[in-house]
Amino acid sequence: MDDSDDLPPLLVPVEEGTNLPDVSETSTVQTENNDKVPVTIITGHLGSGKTTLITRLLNDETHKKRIAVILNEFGENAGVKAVENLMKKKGRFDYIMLETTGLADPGPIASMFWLDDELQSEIYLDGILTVVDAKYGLEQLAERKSNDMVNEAIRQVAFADRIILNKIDLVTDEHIKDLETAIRSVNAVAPIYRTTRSEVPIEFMLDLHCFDDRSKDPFADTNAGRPPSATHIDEDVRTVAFTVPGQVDLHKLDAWLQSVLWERTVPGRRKDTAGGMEILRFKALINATGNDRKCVVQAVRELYDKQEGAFWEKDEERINKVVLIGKNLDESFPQSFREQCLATY
Amino acid sequence: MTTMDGYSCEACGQPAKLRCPTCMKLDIAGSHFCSQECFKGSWAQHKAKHKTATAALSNGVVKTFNPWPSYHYTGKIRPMYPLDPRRAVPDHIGKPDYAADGKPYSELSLRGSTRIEVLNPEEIEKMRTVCRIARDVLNEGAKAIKVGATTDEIDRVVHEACLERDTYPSPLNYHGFPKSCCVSVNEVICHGIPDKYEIQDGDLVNLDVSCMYDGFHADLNETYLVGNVDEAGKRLVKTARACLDKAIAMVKPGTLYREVGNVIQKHAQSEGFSVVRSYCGHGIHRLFHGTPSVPHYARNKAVGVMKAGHTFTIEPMINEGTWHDEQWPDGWTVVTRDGKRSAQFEETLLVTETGVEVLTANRANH
Repeated sequence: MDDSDDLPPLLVPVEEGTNLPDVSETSTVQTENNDKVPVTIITGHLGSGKTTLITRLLNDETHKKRIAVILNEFGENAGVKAVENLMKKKGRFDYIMLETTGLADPGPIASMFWLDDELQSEIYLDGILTVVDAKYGLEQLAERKSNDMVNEAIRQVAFADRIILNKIDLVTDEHIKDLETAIRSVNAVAPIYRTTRSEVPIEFMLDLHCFDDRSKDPFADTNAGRPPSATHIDEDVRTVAFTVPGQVDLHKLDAWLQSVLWERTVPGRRKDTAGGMEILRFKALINATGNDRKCVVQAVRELYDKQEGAFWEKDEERINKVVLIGKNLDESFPQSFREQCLATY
Repeated sequence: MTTMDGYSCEACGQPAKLRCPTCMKLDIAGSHFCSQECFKGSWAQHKAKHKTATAALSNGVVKTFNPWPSYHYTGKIRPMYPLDPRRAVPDHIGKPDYAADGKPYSELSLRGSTRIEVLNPEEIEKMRTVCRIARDVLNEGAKAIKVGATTDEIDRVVHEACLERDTYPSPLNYHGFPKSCCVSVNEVICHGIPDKYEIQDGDLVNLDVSCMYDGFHADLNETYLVGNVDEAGKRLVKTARACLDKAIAMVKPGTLYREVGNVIQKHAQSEGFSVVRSYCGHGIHRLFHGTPSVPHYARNKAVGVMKAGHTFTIEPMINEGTWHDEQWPDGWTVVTRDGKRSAQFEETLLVTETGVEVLTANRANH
């Protein structure tokens, strides 16, 4: 110690926790809730109205939810652990909205937040919302990427569980129809909601349970199952939806899913089509042999899960409903599914 | 935000949120103050503390300190800082892409992909070579594990054993990791940073060694019993080894990666232990960590089927108590949330046409 010993140094603050990311939140009424906290991923091009939509949700006093909004890079880079720590430090939220960047591919983010039950996380993935700008949506869907990759606008529509068609006041009915046709050619099953200034009923967006055993009919939209439109924006990404009567052997189904999702091969396909098949999203409701409950299958890219869902209703038709959304899908799926998955074929 | 429970001003006893910076440098406990005024008022008495500590230092007493005194540690193990400076690796030794700035560029570029590399015979031969080296390095390091040795001393032995074999110690600067191996004692599950902690009689010490040679990585670890370990500790370590062996026995073309965790968890639970869920086995070859991801817990959604030519690790971490883990503020050290002990074993494996080759197998045992 030198002469400076005679002057006390400036005190320093007691060490504080690590820096927290920016979180905007509304703190209305905090409800007592021991359930897991849902996470909704919200995607959409820059300027599509994501932020307005979230702001409306935060300012909506009717839902009484304490909502955390986590912005783009944070959720993508820091992941689940960071969100859990955030809850530990900032107190419990009732709902988490994960707002991605305009150019984000929702696939990897959804995979990250779609956790194994065994991890007993406090959070779970509820669904993926995509906001499409009515004015620029067609252009964005049509944009070609130099490297033959599927563009982000198409990916965002493909992964969507719900689609919000925003700013419809800026375009003609004709234009809206064309845009919806384009959206439907990619994703034929996600319900679409038309709006002007990001005004959307909360039930349309939240608590959808798209990734768990409470997941409802994969044919959420009545358009499902109809043949894909001839006016494809991108020939590569489309929906294949079909129903198959009969009972499914779950072991066979596993092998089939692994082949389709992991090996990118359709089992027993007769014709040898061009490669490059890639499943982005898969949903199915399965009538499993010897089970009175529905088997719910979900997949995000290669990641899939089978779960036991609700009981079949007494008068409900026990039929298998399958939806595939992906790149370079051909017509061989229904037959392949029948031959490879049914208990007795 | 860290809660400030318990700190009171050294001078007046009021709640205190400030600390004397000199005391922090000298690792003097306490020394909290409520305000600069109060600190100034008691300066005449307080500065005597600095004199005593400085005198002790100049007498050659090696001071260690806990860099996060306000962090609530789950067990008895504490970080023993300061860390020694980063060990050098001579120019002639081939280095991974993260050696300079800590960023594993090749791994990051493949993030999100689930494609599993199938190695060709030449690559497999390189894996055999680096895995033999890593096993020898681990065995060298293990010899240094004894009562009174610091974990940093083990790191020095491992580092030098790598250099003698013209090998890069893979952990060094991987995402900024400061040392050449991981040493995890008792409640530390994994990623313990070698420091001035002195190994005690009865400790369970896990040594995790990873090496890069000729462009390929190897990764293995073992948990060692130091001196007189109680029966429960011995059983924990034995179970961790058995979990790994049972998992290795499943490895063959056609096995799903997701099935590995079912077998591990079943055995661990049958012995009354739990399986850590936050850390997984991983593909390893030109990348230190790649696809597949191999969870050790049951009912997981892991992607992929084993095929001849895949190289990956299985490395179950088995806990005496809860499976829940947490991380120290150093961003690395993973500990059990209840402070009870954890044990781990790891091998690097090759799927062959007929089954498995344990590339890092201990030849000394055979």
